[in-house]
Amino acid sequence: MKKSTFLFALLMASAGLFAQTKKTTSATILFDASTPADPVAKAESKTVIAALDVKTGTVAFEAAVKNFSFENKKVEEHFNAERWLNSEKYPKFSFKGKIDDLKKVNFNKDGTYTVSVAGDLTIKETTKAITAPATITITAGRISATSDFLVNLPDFSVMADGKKVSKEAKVTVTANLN
Amino acid sequence: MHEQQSGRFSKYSSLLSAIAIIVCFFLPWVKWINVPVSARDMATGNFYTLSETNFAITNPFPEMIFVNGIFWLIPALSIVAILIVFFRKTFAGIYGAFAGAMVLGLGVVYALFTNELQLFDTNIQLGNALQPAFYVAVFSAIWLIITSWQKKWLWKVFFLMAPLGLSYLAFNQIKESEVSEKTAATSTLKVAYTIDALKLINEFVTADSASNATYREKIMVVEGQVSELNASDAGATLSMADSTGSYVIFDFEKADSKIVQAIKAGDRVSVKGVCSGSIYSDILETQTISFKQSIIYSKK
Repeated sequence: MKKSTFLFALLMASAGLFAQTKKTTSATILFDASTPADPVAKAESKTVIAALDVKTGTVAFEAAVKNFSFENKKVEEHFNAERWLNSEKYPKFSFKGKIDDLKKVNFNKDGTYTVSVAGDLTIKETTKAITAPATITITAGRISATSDFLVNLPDFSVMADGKKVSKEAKVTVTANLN
Repeated sequence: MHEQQSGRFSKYSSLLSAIAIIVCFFLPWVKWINVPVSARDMATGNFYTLSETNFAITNPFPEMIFVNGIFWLIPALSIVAILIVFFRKTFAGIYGAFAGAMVLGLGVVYALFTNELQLFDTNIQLGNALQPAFYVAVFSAIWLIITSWQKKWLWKVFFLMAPLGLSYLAFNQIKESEVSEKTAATSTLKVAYTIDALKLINEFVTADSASNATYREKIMVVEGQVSELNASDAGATLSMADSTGSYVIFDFEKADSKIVQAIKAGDRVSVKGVCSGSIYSDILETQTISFKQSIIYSKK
């Protein structure tokens, strides 16, 4: 009896452990470095991998650079070129961080929660610490999260002239986590 | 007398201009950071090799690369101009004017193109990029045109202004068409490979570098069983996974969202799309192969 109780408790704990990290392979990132002089420098990827640990508040995402789709093929080629994201050498960019004020969020109660996320953003060979606001929405037990932040492209050795391509690219991450 | 002397001065100074143009043709006109580019590079097509290698800017008309050979007329017509002035003791005429006009037209293209490169490397500044041979060639071209005839001032103005205007308009027209050209619809693109999803995943898991080299940017049809779907009116993704969790994921064109919404996990489908290659996910600890601009090819 004790053995079976112990095994049952272990099974429930394991289930809880697996359940605490929510993941998706279909998060979306919208990258917008367009300017009034040139509105074509924006793209989206809907195959971003994202994860959120509801116990520790750890968040992460990874995006394949080549899967960002532009309206214009030439602009897409330039985006992937060596002087830009150099996707041949650096096929993905990623973020690892943590929700600063996790206690504000009750994952068991429907609602919208505004939090702050701090962590490391890695683009090409450069990793920089960033902090960004995020909104977590709980609806019938399903978690969705969204965050907008600006990325200074020259900080990551991405050549942006500031006239046709904004030096500050707006990045919007949206994830529906299971 | 005075007219004779000025005529002699014009003829023999045009000789010097033509010689300067021939010499400068083989010297760098611009320097893109540390990449020197001469007028000869345009004539040989090497201009586009350099722009593609260094800035991923390809020739907008690759099928017409042979037309670049026309720029060999610059030294050729300059030589003809020299021979006419030297042996026939007359003005260079139409030969000198054309040689000068071609130099001016090509100079405009080099200046505009180099100016555009700031988009790719902010260290490139037009003033620093233009080399001495560029200035010598341009001034020599202007003088060669002016001294091609003793009078005929209207022709001189035409040969001075026409290449500037035509080159400027042509460059901007080509640039505009390149930037405004929309990505072709996937349904119109020719399929390079048709492959089973599990086979594709296995190839990437076994040898990702080789598989990326083979399949990246290729139009492919992938057949397999749907393991996961995310579809709404705003867009859709569909995945096919193997037993280890490695998977292929397709990002659909908005127009196909409704078709994808009708598919269920477990269905066998064929999807056509542009392969973006694979990344190793540290989050999932699996290989993920992505496709963009996908459409449903067939549903079984």
